Amino acid sequence: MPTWPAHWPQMMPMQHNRSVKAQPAIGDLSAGPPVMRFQYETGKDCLGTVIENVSTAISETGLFSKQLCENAHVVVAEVINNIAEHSYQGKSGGPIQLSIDMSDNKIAVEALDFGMPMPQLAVPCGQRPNHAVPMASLPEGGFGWYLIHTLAPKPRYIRRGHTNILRFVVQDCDDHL
Amino acid sequence: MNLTSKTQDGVLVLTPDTARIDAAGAVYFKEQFRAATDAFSGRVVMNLSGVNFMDSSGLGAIVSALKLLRGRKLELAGLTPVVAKVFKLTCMDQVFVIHADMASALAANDANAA
Repeated sequence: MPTWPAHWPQMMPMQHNRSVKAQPAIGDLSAGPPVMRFQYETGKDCLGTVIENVSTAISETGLFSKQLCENAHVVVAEVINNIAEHSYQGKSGGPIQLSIDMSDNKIAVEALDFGMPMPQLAVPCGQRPNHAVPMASLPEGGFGWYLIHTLAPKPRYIRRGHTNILRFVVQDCDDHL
Repeated sequence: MNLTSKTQDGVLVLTPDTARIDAAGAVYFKEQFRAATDAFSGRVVMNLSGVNFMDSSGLGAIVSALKLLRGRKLELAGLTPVVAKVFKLTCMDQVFVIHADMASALAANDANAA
């Protein structure tokens, strides 16, 4: 796991998590282990490393269904892509901290970064791009937030100082679709 | 990431030599797809059985590949669970012809010819 370079913004101390607890509870990171924390920098191999780490961390617990594990991979990948592409605007070396709380038979995730805030300080809506269109008009993008909203309903976003905080709980099934 | 191509029973079979199709390889993927399909007018099947992860950018790359065929079909074979999930959730499984595996994709050749 990469070490946290001294020149990067300081990570939130544990008190931060406790103060967050007062807010509507989602992904309560002060609930104790098993919480896994990973630190990354945006760049070429970032996504591959994240997927590998997350998939190992989650499946090693043996606590979750195959479907829930797959959903977690998909959502975390989209969140990391958004941070790299929008928050850090494609620049390499942007720090990301990912915390995964696997207590209470849930996979709750908190992703922190120090890039640009989300537009209007809000989570973008997740409409499904329309597929019932002529082939030349088929959507090639816009799938990312739709996948996040579908597999991790009602993600919460907070901008605190220069930090983006996104929290969500991964949904176990997708058969409501 | 490379896209290997070979013709099998008159069908152009394209196989990405990567376990992951994502934002990093999307542009190169499209270029290689164009080069491989430009001079071919028959069926095009992409063998995705070795791809165990695809994100929304990877999905976008497959959609843009379909558009390069200008109205012809792009058939996909051997979708692994995460890839199949991404196609199903976005309804893109309704836009492509999807086969369980390469064997059934090639068997469909006879049905098409008949």
